[in-house]
Amino acid sequence: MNRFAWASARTVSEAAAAASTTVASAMTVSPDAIDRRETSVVKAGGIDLLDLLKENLLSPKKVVSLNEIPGLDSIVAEPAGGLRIGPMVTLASLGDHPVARQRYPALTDAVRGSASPQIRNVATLGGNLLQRPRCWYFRAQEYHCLRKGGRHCFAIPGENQYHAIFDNQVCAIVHPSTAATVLVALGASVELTSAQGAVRRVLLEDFFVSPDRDIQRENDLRSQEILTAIHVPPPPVGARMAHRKQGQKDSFDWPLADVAVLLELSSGGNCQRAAIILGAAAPVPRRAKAAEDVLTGRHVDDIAAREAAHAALDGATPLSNNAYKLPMFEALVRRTILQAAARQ
Amino acid sequence: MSTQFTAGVRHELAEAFDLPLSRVRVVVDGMGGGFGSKSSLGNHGRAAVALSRQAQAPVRLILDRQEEQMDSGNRPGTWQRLRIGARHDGSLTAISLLSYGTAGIALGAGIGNFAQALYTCPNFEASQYDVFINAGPGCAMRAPGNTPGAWGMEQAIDELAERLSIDPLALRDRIDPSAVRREERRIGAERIGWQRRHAPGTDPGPVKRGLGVAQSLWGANVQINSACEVRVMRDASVEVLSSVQDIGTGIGTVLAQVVAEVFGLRPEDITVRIGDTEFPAGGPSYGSRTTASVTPPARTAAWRVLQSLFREAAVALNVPATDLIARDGRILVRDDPRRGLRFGEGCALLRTDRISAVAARSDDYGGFRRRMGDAAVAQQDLGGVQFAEVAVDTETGVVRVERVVAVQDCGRPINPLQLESQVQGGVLMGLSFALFEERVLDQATGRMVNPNLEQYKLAGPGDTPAIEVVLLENYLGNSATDAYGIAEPSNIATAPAIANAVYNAIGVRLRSTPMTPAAVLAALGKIPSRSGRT
Repeated sequence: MNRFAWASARTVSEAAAAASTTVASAMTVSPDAIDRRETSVVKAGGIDLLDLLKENLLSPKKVVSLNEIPGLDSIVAEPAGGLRIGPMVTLASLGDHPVARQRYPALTDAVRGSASPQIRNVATLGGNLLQRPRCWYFRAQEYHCLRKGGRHCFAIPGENQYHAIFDNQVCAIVHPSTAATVLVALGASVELTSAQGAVRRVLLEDFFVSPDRDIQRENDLRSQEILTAIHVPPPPVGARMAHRKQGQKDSFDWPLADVAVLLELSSGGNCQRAAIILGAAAPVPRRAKAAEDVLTGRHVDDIAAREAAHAALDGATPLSNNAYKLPMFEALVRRTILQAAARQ
Repeated sequence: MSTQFTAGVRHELAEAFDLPLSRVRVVVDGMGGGFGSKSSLGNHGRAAVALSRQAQAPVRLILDRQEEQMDSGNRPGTWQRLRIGARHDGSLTAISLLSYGTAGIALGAGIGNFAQALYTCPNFEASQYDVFINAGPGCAMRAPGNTPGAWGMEQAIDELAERLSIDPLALRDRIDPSAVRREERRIGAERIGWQRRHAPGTDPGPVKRGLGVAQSLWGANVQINSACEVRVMRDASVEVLSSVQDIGTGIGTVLAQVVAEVFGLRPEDITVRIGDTEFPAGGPSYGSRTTASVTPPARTAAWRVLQSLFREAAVALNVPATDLIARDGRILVRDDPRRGLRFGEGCALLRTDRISAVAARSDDYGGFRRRMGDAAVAQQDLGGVQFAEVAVDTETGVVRVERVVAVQDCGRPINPLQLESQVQGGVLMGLSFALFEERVLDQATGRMVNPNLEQYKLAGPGDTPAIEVVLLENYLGNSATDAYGIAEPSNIATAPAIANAVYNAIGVRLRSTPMTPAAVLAALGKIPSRSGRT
């Protein structure tokens, strides 16, 4: 870990002004990249940031803490039925929030099943959405990969058992956030505030950036911009939702596969709209459009779930070591659909 | 220094830096585990001492997780081929073993004598090869040789049982000469409910359950060069001293128990001073030999000091010293227990402030099976039998171990609570070996890509089965305490028991560790061809 200066921002605009670069651009080493020694980055819970610092993947001149900015760590239940979640809300407090648990059980299930109790007590939702990928080549200083400004992806010809089965032709990372899988299914959006106070609101699904758009970042956060809120819209009438994560271990493990399902059922039980999102499948949370189409207009039963699960894997391009994810996802999508449909 | 063998490291340092033993002192306060990797000085220890001597200042050498994984040793990987010949009644006619192992740039990738020693078989042949690869060195890891050896052999026996249509326990009753393990099989089968075991892969539904069994074999090791001093002061304080180190298994508590029993005191009355080569050389904390090596001399030394104390007390009580006993904090006349002194009153009679005795480990009473320098192997082996119950999700490939019954023997159990804890640790490590642990080396560069506890997987609370430990007390009368070790024996049978249970659940055998979801789905033929789907 390098030496760096420490600052504690008191306001969002102070933090945004101080954040000269995103973590993503501070980690990019290429001839035209900015001088890394002059960078300053922001810190929320620090779970990912400290890893990056300790592994010498990130060497900022200054770290700006968001911890003392008032109001960023609250969850507000909006009268219309939605939820405004501050970026500094910890995964533990989100997982335990009574309104969140009642309105969005899939979301609280997902965060309660992620990482470990110790990490959930410190990790923030904002940091969780903005964390860098866990690809082990990306995380090792010795491998100067495409995402860090290098010329090669080492995972595609290498050890890729935890990598993407979709959209993996250039860079095979999977998006690391489990919460994102559910939040995309719920139609959440993020609020981004610039140093000048300009606020833009972006649908989370559009906020994430796939490698073909830009290989060096996973989201559309800009320099001198702070993620200031996550908005979750009210659950639609007749909404049924579920999230399932499959790790190799039950304790403290990343998902090998995770699936979020939101169904809007008519009073007669027909599916009017379905959102089916796959996590740990692609560089961004992946909408399984074909699976959604299978369910739309149908009664959700075992056969429909099975057909949808099969369709969810259409177009998959597994790598040398991760074709096992296909049957795993198929089982998980079917089970999550049925779990959602059975939920009251 | 964090080491499993203070006295051994003193020897190594004396030799490396050309110093007399008396000029080298090694102290280990506490140790965060060892499991074989801290058995000797190592390059890291030598480097730290060399730097310290040059700098004339203390040097602290710490490896981070990645360096630890890269440089300081891993369990060697092995490839094994076993061929077994048997008659229809199960009796074995021949065993042939071929193994290739790699300890990276080091030696020591053999898989021990497990396949040869466990069962009665008239013909045996083995070839074991070490293969060098461009990767970090191997090192000892809890039951080196036998843990990977059991993975192969105990699955082969399970396969043989099925081929012969003999129950795996009945087959072992026929071919296993150990009366101890026979009893352990009987106890374990009852505990796990072996009669519930069904034919392989016959559970309905996607989640299939299975039962499996495997056995453990490990030599009962003893360190001859192992000694203890026991001191009694005039103020009634009692100390036990040895350079033996506590690797986390509680040898200090055991020493206090043994000495306290001799003096008729409570364990908390004994001051334990260990982990320092200024004290008599204790044995190493590896090879499951600590308790077997250091508790007999502790008991003998305590007995000798007590005799000195009796001589003083005998004068005061006007009886022969041989008539005295120590019990309940008192020194009593054996045939007239109303006469006696409090232990403290007896100590106050001492001529000098302190009396002491040093004792060394004597040979086992029946002699040893073999002896190599300071190390010896007892006549009898140690072992155990473990049973596992698993649930395999045939759609996701995920294996969950729901229950393990571990029946183990170690001579006389001195501290059952600590022993049970050690067996649970052995089972947990065996479970991680079976399902999770994998050093993933990048095929192009040889670099380990998962050198951290995020990607190097170990069982956590959610993966921990119900573990039932049964200690079979196996009294042999071979030493002053009759105690032997349990650390490694408790680790050997777990992984093959789980593998055999997985086979019983799904009817397909997994021959490689770890049994990942990918491996299970592949074994079940559920992974589509690489081209994917369109």
